[in-house]
Amino acid sequence: MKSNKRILRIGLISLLLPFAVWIGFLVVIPHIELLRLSFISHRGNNFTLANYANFFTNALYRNTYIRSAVFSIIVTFITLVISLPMALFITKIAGPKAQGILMLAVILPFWISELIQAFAWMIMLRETGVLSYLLQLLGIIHHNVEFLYNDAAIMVGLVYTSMLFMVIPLVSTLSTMEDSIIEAAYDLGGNFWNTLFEVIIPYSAPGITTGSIMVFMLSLGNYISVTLLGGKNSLWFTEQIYNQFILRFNWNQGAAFGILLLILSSLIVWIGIKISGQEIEEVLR
Amino acid sequence: MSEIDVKVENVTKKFGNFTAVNNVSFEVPKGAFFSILGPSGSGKTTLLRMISGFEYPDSGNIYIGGEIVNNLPPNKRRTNLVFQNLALFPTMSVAKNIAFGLKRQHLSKQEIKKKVEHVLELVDLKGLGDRNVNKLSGGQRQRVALARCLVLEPTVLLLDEPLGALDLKLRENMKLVLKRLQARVGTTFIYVTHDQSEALTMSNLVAVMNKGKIEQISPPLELFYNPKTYFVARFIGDNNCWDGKVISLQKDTCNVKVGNISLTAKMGENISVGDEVSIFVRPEIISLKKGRSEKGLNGTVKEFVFDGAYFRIVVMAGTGENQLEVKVKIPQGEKIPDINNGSEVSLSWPDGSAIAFKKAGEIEKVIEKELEGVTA
Amino acid sequence: MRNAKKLLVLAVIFTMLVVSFAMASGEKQSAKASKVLRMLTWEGYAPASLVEKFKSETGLDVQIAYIGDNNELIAKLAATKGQGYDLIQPTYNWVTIAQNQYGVYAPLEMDKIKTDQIDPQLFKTVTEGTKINGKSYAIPFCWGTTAMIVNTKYAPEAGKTYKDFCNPKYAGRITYRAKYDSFYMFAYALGLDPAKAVSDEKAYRDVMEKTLKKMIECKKYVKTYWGSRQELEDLLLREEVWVASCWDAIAFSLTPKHPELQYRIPKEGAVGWIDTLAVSAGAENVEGAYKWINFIMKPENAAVIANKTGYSMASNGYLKYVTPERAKMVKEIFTPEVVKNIKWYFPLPSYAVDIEADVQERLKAAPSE
Ligand SMILES: Nc1ncnc2c1ncn2[C@@H]1O[C@H](COP(=O)(O)OP(=O)(O)OP(=O)(O)O)[C@@H](O)[C@H]1O
Ligand SMILES: [Mg+2]
Repeated sequence: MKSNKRILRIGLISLLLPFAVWIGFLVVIPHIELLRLSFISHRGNNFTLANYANFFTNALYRNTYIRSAVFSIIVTFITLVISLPMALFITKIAGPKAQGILMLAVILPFWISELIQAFAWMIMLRETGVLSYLLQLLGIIHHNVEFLYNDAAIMVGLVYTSMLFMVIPLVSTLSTMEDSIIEAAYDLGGNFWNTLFEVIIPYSAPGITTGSIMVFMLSLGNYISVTLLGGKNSLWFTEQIYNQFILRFNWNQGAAFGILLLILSSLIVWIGIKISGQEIEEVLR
Repeated sequence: MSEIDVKVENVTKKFGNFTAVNNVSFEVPKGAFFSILGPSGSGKTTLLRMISGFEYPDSGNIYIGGEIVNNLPPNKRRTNLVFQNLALFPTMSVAKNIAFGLKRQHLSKQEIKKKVEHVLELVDLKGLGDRNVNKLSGGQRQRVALARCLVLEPTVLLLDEPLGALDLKLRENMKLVLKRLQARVGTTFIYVTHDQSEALTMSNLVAVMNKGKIEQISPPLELFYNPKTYFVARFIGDNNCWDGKVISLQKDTCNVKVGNISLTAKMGENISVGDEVSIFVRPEIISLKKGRSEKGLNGTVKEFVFDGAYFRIVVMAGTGENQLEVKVKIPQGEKIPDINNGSEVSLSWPDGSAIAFKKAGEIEKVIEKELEGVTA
Repeated sequence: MRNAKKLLVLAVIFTMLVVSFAMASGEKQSAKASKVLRMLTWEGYAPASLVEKFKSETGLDVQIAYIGDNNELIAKLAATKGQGYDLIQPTYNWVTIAQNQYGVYAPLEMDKIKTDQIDPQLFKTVTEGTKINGKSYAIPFCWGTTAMIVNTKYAPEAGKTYKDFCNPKYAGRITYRAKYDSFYMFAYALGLDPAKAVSDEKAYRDVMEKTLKKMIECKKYVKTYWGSRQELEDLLLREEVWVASCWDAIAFSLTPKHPELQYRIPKEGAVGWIDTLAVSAGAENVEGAYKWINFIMKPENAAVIANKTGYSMASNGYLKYVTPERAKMVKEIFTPEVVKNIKWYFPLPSYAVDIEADVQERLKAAPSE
């Protein structure tokens, strides 16, 4: 019986080995290397904390990070505000057939690359684009108006590319919620808003948190949509990391920025979870 | 008892081509414990949801406290519903569940707190206010669902099979709790169930529902001894039911040939000579004597069982092929004649306690299914 | 017990499969190395027709990896010290920096190169400019310029000076890159000379700071900083911009169909780049690399690339083999005076790389108003 178990364990370990190797080579080792690089001076090869200090002393880097983070928080919030009614509609109102179609409609855009999505938005928003044309057709504006190359365009792009990652967790939590719970809230005198805020949102809290973390991280780590849609004022923290590696060949500074991005963003997520009063273990589950 | 809290008037509800509730009318007096009893799928929930406002009738009117509420949404009605699955708010504590409705009434914090404490005491959950509802037992959850509604002091409390999810013993206990609670708070209850023992033990009035229609509304005892339709006679209690053919009619009785025995029964509806009918006699009303007699129905004991409350005796009456199976129930405590399996006995019942209804083949199947469920 | 054994056997088979796969692919590569020429180059520099021709002449297969910009090229090479590639095509001004910092190139053996096929003027510029310790690391391959393109319908007067990038007359109808080429244009327009200043860190910093100040001032007139060719073409063809910085090759492809779009070289001179041919320090097929160099610089072969890309070649007499219209257009735009006035990109010392990256970031972060 005992040897039986041991064979089983060996079998299991050797089955999991390729996976462990994959995790090790592609996730752990690069991060360790990144960490090591971040503590070495550029062109000097000696230990230093300067790469980290640069972030805090140089206003350009700091502000770019703050700007990217604030934007990502706003994007996360907007995505949530749009996704929650969508998820509610999909799980609570739509019939099974419409449900499938709606889910497909949410997932479909993710079969095309983000680059193409961004180009599609450029066609929509540009001065001679679809939106400008339609608004003129409706008589709301009377000449071409530029909707591209501004902060709002960045938000539109980011919300669009990350929507799925909010909708899916929301749908999966809300679909476990029995309709009668919402009915009960109405029956006890609740209206739409207090049912939403006191019953539905607390219930979907795990989904909201999971979705928010994903959307926040994706937005903060975005590069394509931001640079293409944002135009001349679109400096993003990822672009600065890219610049360190590619423009300046300063791998050490780039590594430090990468690690800082990871730490600071995790910190923001952690604070977010604390504020919303959830347990981290709950969210991970 | 004259004031009417809920009035349902010619209400019909269709889902597509399917009529779930068919031209139903009834009145519920203030303070009554009113049950709607019927087999699964008979439209009970639909009816209740129309009263609470989750469905709107296709035709007919619903009055609550004298006002038409046909198109009033649930949150504007003075009714509250205890859901079939309870539907407690899983993210909230017991007290918060109960306070949810109170908060909508813009009461002060202290007032809410006082009311919550009070109702918790009422349902015997004192001290459990801070507990999360997921950490309660079935019976406790049940009482939270009740408290959540009762605290709002609704005109009518609607309950949709609230005991369905509980195990047998707890259900027996909760029946009494509910009945006592209702007596204490005096709120009008409309109680939906497919379990007749629940309906019969707790209610002042029972409406028996079948296929979207109400068959009979009576106090429990009358339902028992004076059924108005074949369905009710068949559905309520473990009734004796014998099939036969009408051979002659008197003023309000008929003679029916069952096998080779001739029996006299009150006519439950219009019956003519030659009709196929069923005769119903309550097992509880039949008296049994040892030995044969001229007047009574003679037979032999086939089964003799004591179940703790009743002696259940099965007697085979008549002779030959067409013997009649007669169920007899004698309450424990009454004097039992000295009989065994195989004893010769004679059976009799008071005049007028046998009732005849025309046979309805289709209903038969529905009831068979339902009764199977009950005995299982 | 049975199940456990099955699981074990399955696991072992799986692991063996993975290992043997990895080994097999490793073997394949080294066995083929000397029959293959591995290139790291730009899109269009090694068209399929020429690769075929090369194979039939030499029997060598060509494997090509493409790069998007010089930073990426260095990033790819730096990690392996050039291993994995034989022939590399960096831009002239990027050669020394990569060599000094990472040593990714091998010094060229000039006796293996048919230098008579190469334009002597360009040859001198590049071999001199890439000299480290007396050895040259690159020869010219092709060249092009960045100047202005204007829509003559809306801005017929524009394009005589880079100052038009800051001309309020064209406010919101201007686009250029937030990259070094634009900085040079602005610098020359301000009368500064970055090429001269670059050898001194302080002087270069000074030039770039002055230029940056001007560019931030002019930011309000820019519609956007264009990033990709596609973006620029969309902006021009939809007439959303009238004045833009532009590569000559893009202009050559646009003008024939859209004659209102004209490539103009302002009085400050076009900014010019030269792409080169270099041999990797980690080359396994050195002979093959020289064979390709001599093959590709033949005028008839160079002309194929010129037609395809729109660039000018460093091959002597290639214009004889390009289409007559193309030859005419090139001769019209690149008059001897214009060519003489080209401001070639210059090699950047590492401090200059940092200064440029710094001003680029600050330009993008600066508010428009
Ligand atoms: N929303 C609906 N759409 C279509 N049909 C429905 C709907 N709700 C109920 N029905 C149908 O109406 C009939 C009555 O349903 P209802 O839920 O009222 O029965 P019930 O008496 O409560 O049964 P149970 O004892 O099983 O709860 C059923 O046949 C059911 O399938
Ligand atoms: Mg029901």
